[in-house]
Amino acid sequence: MKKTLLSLISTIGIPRIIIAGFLTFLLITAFVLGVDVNRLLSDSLVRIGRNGLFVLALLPTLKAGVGLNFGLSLGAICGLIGLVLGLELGITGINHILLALVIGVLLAVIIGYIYGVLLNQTKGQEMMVGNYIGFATVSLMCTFWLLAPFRNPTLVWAIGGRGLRTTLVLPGETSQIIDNFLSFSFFGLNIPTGTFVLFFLSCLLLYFFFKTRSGLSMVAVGSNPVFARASGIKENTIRIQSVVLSTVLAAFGMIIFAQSFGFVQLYMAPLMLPFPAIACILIGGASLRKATLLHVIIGTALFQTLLTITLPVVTQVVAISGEAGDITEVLRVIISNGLILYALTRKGGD
Amino acid sequence: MEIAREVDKSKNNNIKVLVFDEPTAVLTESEAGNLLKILKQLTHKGISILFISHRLDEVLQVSDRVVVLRDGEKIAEKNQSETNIIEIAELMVGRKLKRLEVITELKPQIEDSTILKINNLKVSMPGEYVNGINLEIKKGEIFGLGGLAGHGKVGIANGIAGLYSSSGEVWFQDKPLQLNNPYAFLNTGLAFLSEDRRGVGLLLNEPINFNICLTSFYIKGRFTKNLLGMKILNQSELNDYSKKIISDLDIRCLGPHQFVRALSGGNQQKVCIARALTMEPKLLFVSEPTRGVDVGAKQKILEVLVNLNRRLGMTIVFTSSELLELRSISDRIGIVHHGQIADILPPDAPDVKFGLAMSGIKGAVQ
Repeated sequence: MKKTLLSLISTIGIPRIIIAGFLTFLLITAFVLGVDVNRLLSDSLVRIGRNGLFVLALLPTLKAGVGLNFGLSLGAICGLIGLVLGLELGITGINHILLALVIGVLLAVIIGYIYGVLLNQTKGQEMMVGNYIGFATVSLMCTFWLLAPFRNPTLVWAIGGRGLRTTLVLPGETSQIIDNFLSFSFFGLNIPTGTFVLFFLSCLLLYFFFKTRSGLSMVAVGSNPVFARASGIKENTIRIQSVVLSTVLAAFGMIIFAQSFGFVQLYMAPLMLPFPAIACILIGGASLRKATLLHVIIGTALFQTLLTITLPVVTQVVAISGEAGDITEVLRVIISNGLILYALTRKGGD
Repeated sequence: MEIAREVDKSKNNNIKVLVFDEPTAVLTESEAGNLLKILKQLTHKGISILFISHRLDEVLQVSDRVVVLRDGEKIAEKNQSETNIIEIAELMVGRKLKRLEVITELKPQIEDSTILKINNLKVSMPGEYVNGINLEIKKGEIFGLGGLAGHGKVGIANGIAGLYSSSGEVWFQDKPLQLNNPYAFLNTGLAFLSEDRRGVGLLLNEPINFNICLTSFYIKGRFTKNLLGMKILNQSELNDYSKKIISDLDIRCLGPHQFVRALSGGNQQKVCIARALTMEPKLLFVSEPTRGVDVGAKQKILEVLVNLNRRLGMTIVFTSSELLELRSISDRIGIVHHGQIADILPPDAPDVKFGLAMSGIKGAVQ
């Protein structure tokens, strides 16, 4: 009995148990302070569903030894283009999502391939290079959003009639269409069933993918490239495959995120997108050497809940002590970047 | 050039001792002859010379006294006039050591047909010099490859396995083998146990069963099952197989899920062997399998190799820097010198022949 308990603790990891304990403590505090706990939990669930795919998108590159994909925004931009095209053509509802998916995934395959080739040429510095490419592309796309020949008057600036607006509202038929699919209330909690089902379905697909020939080769390349080569595996091809898969998942993730959020945010919005996702997978217990689906799921759940719950509670506490102001954003940045820094210092993993 | 400059310096400056470490290795024969003459002249001027070489004839030609080192120990010191090339060769190899007793109740079944033919193989591998190997391996034999470090014995298998870029022609079962392509190498029915166990041979951060299965899963599609048209890993089949091979090879571990990093050197080597066996190769290249392995495991590994050969008829090309090992289990031993096969000897050939072959002299002494 004691032994099974100990092994359970070591699988989950002490840091995660501490965080979970902290979350419980926060929930109790929230209840005492009179914050709407049900709403907090509902918000957490929505955010988990929204961000889960971005975190999942990090898994293939980590497994293949390419490192954390700091260029996640590339895939997100592909998804954004798909969504905007749907808006421009006036397609709504599930067709809008499907169109965005087809275009987004197609673009992501092409962009991911080029990105993968580039990362192969800069082996050993993938994370830094990915970061630069992500930043550069987001900035480059700012020009694209401005100059692209979109004509739909609901999308372009009212004055001048050119250039997309920074935030586009998704029509009611598209907005939250997947969130609301089969969604139900449970003790006052709104469960975004569709998004959750999609997230877990993607996890399941990836689980089986990592048992196929390509998937296992990815693990081998990540674990020891020389071994992989001696086993007849083409290291560079596998690395490119992992980057393409990651980019496609990010495009998919962006579409799910946007439908849940109800808005399409352009220009600089995708710039910092990889960072919270990376913080998620790291808080879940992943390291540069070892990452699993469990890390993705636990990490997303803990990190997103932490962000959703901590901030209102802390704001409340700060408000009580008499200091005004909102420190939510500051905390968000400190937590996510601190985690990334922490994980990078422990490259070996535990 | 550099040698000439150093020699010139020594004439002008007040140098008393000169050390030459394998000076003739980079020179042609006539150049080497000139150098030796110059060295003799230098000694007449009162300069002492320490001449290090594996070329025994040169050593005897220039030296006044000869010291033989083996495995970091001084074995003998002789005056040049009191010794000869045969004695030095014997001292270099070490006759005192007795053969490892490897239990072999079964006789080797060597066929006349050639299973592997190597023609003018050149490999560019750092620290190894393979320059035009010609070799024929017979079906069913254990062929030993020996020679001094850096002379190319290790490079041969690495080159054929496609790990380092190589040129030349290799025929396996009368079909040409594509070089520089590890996939083709494995797919043809060959396998290679690398001398660099931790660097090439293992996934240290993965469990034993994953290490054992990966290559044959990738190349041959073993351990697969169908799931909605996808071929995925069959975990239960793999676990059963791993448990069996763990007990067959006596791998000391906690079970098939233990990480390879946690195993001892000998057990890691056994995992490598298990991986190669899972490929069911017709011909197996084995490089330095007993390096960094304790004595008990050493014996076990050699026994496994012999059993593979005797029971399954697997042809084995066995590379080792320990001559003793080579002579214990090989049917024929090729000695590599300066990137080429200097001589092919039976395991019971006199020590002196091995010693001479290692310094590049073929069959000079009867």
